[in-house]
Amino acid sequence: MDGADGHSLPVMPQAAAAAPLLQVRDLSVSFAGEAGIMPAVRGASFDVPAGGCLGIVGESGSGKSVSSLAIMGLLPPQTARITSGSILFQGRDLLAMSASQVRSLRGSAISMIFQEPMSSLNPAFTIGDQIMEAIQAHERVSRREARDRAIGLLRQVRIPAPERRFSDYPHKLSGGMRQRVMIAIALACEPKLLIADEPTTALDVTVQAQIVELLRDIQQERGTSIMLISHNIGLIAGLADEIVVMYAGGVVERGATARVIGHPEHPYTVGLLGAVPRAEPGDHPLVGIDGAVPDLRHLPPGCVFEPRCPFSAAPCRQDEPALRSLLPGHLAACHMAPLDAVP
Amino acid sequence: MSAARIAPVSPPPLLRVAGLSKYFDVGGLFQRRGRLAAVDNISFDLAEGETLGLVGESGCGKSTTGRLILRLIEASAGSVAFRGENLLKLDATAMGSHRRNLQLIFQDPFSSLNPSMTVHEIIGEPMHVHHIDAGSGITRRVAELLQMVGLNPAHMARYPHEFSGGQRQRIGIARALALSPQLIVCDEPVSALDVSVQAQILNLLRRLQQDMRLGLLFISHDLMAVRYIAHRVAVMYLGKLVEVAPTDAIFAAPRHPYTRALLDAVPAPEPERRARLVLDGDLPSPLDPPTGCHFHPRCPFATARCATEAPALVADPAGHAVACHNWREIPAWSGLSPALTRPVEPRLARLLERFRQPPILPVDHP
Repeated sequence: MDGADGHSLPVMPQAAAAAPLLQVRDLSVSFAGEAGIMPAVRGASFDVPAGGCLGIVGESGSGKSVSSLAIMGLLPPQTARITSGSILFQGRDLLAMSASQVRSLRGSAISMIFQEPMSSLNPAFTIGDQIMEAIQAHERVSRREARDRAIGLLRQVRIPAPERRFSDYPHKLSGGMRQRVMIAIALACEPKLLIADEPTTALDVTVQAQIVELLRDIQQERGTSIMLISHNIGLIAGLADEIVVMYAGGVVERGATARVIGHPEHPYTVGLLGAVPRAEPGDHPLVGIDGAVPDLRHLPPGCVFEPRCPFSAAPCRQDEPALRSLLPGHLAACHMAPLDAVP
Repeated sequence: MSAARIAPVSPPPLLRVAGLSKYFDVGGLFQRRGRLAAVDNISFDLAEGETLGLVGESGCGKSTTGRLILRLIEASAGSVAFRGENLLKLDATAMGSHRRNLQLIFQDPFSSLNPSMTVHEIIGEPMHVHHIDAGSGITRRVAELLQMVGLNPAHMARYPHEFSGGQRQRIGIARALALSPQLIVCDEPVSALDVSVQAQILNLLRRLQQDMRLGLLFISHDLMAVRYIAHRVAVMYLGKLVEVAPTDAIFAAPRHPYTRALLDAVPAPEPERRARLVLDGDLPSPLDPPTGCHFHPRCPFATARCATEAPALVADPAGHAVACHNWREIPAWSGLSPALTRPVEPRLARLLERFRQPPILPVDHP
């Protein structure tokens, strides 16, 4: 019952020797509010592989977006506090850097796109101006060169007639086009890491597919590492090399995407996979996970998923399980894993 | 042996929408005036005990259609016949008494419940309005409804903010069921919910629909949710229906290129290897729709005819209707990603069985 039969599973090759681009270790973030302290991220650890794509999947309140804001140094200073952990980018701890050092990294080495392309652009400036601003904020280049590069970026994000679009204001563009402009701004300084937080959620279905293709092309053509955050496990699984599943502020499972999707070891991951309608022959009722995500201010003792978990047993109500390795590179935070052994 | 009989006069369907249109006048002070066809001459039937999925992207007119049927907004043209009676011709009193048969479930369980009313008041209000079971009968009925939607009847004195999003959507469903309606319009009822909770609500709606033989108009942008819950699917694009077919038929062989693009856009939980139809461009402005077939500028199979002549929605004998000049000529569809169509791995299926055990009453809110 304690991972003893892990050896009976196929052994996966060791992770590539290349050092990860970003290493998040034991990150904890709390928010202080009138209703008390809310631990939004609790001891999260994960890596973004260099040149690869890490997908973080989780529902509301899972801590996936707060983690990305912590990496970007964009947490609201009045209410948020990083209570533990380190964020190593190319080996340097972002949390130990000065504000100005972080600012120069943000945008040039790490950049981010958000869910809402409507509200992320300034309505008073043309999209060309906004891309040029991003270039000139980090590099000393002439206006002419910045303009040429901005048009090149618009072309790279597959905006038709980029020379003409350059002088358009955001309101003239559709949601999908605005998200492409946001991606162009994010790519302006050739970042090593692009964080995409629910980049397709606000978009129409057919436009979502375009943006996913674009992100895949960017990763392959430019070698940009991508950290993709979504509630949609299908979207993540289609793009990410590695996957992190978060629940109520903690990482509950992580590993190579094919392994986690094909052989989930945390009951929450199992439930998520069963909650998405599929199209296999025959009638298969969906699995709803009973109950709701817990209030982060009043977390249950023991495992936070225990109140909703059909695998739970006595230890789950007492001790919070640590993330532990079941196979090299595949980790789950569950007392009952490997689940095949549960009677 | 049996003598030829005169076919019995079939009763009218639960709902028959014919030539329904809604035009909005837009512009004014600073812009040229124009007319926007939000819903453009659409027709469909919905049988008793049937779920019809109405799918399309934002701005296609699907929500407007739902509201026109309930007369929350008034139609510009066409008819909405409920059991043969045209609702659009009724005066306010007659329509009012019809409303108990037609209910609506909203997308947002946060803004659609009055925060200053208890659950008892919210679910009981329609009964008060229609003078049904006034008095102690209401409390009994509210308890029964809460039970039906999987909530604890002991919580009827609580306020909406004491419930999670999924529980609030259950309250909205209980309110819609209060008067035992025959038709419920569900407008994106799960879009605002977390994935694990969406599945609960879809299961609940499916069960209630079957148990009570409800007619459901299930409006959604999520094709997979529609496939799960609907018997038939109607696809809308820029105010028009482009395809209507039984769910199995449309998922086996979509005929309209737009339907195909919608199906190809469903994210597959593994790297894509299919030749997918990923559309270029965005939805055109409904203020200035393309000539001919509205879809032709984005359609990879468009011909000269498509730019000039709008195709009519034509049904075959099996009830599969499509509005496309060229659907017979376009290459065969490659199908959904195998990751979606192959049976669930036996191990995952076995683990999932644990989640299917009899539902426990929802946990108390902390």
